[in-house]
Amino acid sequence: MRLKPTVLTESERKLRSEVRTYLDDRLQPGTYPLGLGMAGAFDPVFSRDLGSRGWLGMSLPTEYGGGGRSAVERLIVVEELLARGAPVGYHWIADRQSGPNIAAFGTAQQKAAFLPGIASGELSFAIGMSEPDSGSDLASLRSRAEQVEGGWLVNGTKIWTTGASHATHIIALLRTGPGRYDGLTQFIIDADAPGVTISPIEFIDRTADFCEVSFVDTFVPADRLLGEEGAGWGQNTAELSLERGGVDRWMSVMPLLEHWAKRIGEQGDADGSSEQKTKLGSVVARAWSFRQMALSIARLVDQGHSPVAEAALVKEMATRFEQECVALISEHYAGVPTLGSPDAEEALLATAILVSPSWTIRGGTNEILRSIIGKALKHDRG
Amino acid sequence: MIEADPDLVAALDDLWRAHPDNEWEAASNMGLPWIGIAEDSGGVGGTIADQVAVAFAVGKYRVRAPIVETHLAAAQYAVVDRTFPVGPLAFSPGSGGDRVDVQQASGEFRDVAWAEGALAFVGVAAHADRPSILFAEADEFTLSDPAGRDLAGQPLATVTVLSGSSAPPQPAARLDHALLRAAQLAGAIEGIADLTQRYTNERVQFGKPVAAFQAVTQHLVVVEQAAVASRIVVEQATSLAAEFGRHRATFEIGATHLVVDHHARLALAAAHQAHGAIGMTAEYPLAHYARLMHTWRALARDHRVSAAHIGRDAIGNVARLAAREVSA
Repeated sequence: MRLKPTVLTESERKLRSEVRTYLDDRLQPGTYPLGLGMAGAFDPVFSRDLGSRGWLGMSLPTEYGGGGRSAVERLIVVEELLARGAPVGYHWIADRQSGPNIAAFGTAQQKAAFLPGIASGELSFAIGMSEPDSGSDLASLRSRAEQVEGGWLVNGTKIWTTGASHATHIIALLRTGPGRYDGLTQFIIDADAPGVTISPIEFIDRTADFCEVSFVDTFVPADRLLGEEGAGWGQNTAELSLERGGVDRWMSVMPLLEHWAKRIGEQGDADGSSEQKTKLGSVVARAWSFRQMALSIARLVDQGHSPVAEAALVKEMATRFEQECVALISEHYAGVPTLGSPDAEEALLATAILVSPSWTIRGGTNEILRSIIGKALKHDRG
Repeated sequence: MIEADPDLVAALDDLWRAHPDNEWEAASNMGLPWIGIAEDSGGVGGTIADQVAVAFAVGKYRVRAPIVETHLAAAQYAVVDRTFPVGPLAFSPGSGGDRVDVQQASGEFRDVAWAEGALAFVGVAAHADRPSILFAEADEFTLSDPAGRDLAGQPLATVTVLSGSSAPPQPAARLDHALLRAAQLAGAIEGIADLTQRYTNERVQFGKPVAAFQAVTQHLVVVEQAAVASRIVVEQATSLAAEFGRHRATFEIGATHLVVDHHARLALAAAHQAHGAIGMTAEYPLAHYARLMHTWRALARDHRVSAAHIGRDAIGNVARLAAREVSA
């Protein structure tokens, strides 16, 4: 495998400077809850503000309210948001995954119905994949949609569905036939449809964004089937490659790194500060290398490639890097970090200590990613 | 992006894949050590990207010849408009253990690679009170331990400069050293990625190739990650240095060296584990790579200096530095 380096063009740099100017003003330190990357706070007003500037749904077609822009341009906006621990929770999944998924596989009517709301930041999506008995072996899932007059009747339970309690819509992968892969179909389901029950599962840090979603005889109209009946597995896989290659896989820790660096600066030349500067320098060098790789992947996407294995390769190591950063910052933190600390940075560190194991689990466990990379390697170097 | 000449890259593959007996002669006949030095300075022309491609090939084909060292020394002669002897040269980026008297243009440089047989020596007095570069021709320096050898059996000695000449410091000397050592390591990682993939698909245990076991796949992934990450950063830093000058790419070159050094350690450990006992035998290719990689890492060991520099620059500036774009 090989990723080639790339740099930002003049117009991309201009976009970046516009985003920086806007966010420096809109997100002044202390005026918003700091978040860890994609797990940023839910703030529908902030999401709509971004939407009104054209910074959501950037790669969606213009005729449906999107920006018609590139993956690199989206990366530029996302990078600036995550650097600030911005409240991206409300729009995150819709912007990153569901919008491009509907744009690629949806009907004209579905695009007209959903894409403008995604680009404006009004709609919030969740993705229903895992089930109580189906995790890494996703194709074994059993929640089913049965054809009835005018649509489908859905029954079953989805679990570990991030953001479902805030979502307006859920894209669920459901069984419509017996075939392990070709019996799976994606549906767009209203989160408030009759028969849908969304129950938060208390997460390790006592938050409640992680949900169980149960469907009991939920009627889904025929025009909510996304893509082809029986093609859900392939659509879902394409969607995961969008999910995996981005800057969000190494930037969760950025606000923590920034604050650690500030503390080192405050120590001046005190004992141990030089050792910490050396460690910080190594971490920043690696962060820079991950950015080179994420940018390279975005360019490949813009050139029409589908760098699935490359994205998996980067995610697998970038998420481990994020965990290493949390360990390193904790090691140099004087005090006992608590979730309820009035110091926002300390509370964020406490959260990171608890939730960071999830980073190598969500969006495909590192073990599953390694088997994807291993298969590609056999082909590449075999 | 500024990339190496594809014809050069193809020629390097052809040359080293054939494993010539006299590696230095083969390289110097093609002018490899002097690529990247202008013709009117006594070089053979070409870009930094071409020189980095040579260093990458030296690593990939585990070439044991002073190609990178000769280039680094000759390039410094060229910078100060002096004629360099055409033949193998030695170079030191300077280390904390050196003792240099800049006034007298004399002193001691420790752990210098390939000084034995070198027609001249160039050393950076990095830690002297007045930083400078020392030049010494063959009769102006001696070796304290002429029989010294590094892990790969290559000459390694303490060079004592009796009376050379000095010139003002060139930041490019140390940056070039960091970049070319990183390129050698990145090439070697590429080499062990191929080797490890091949071996684990040929070696059968429990009735199947060992690569089919998940635990072994994990090692292959680590080696591949190291190869991909190292190559892209070397190429990025090289392209930026070629376009904007090494000095403007100081952060990128320093970061590249840190990243590649980190991955070299991980890749080598994973490759050894994937190979098992065969990788520990003296004449197996992995052992050759290992000895060279340990040596190249040690020869640039003061990379901790650049880590501390980057750390200092990152205070109040982490995200901006990690997302830095160089411009004119």
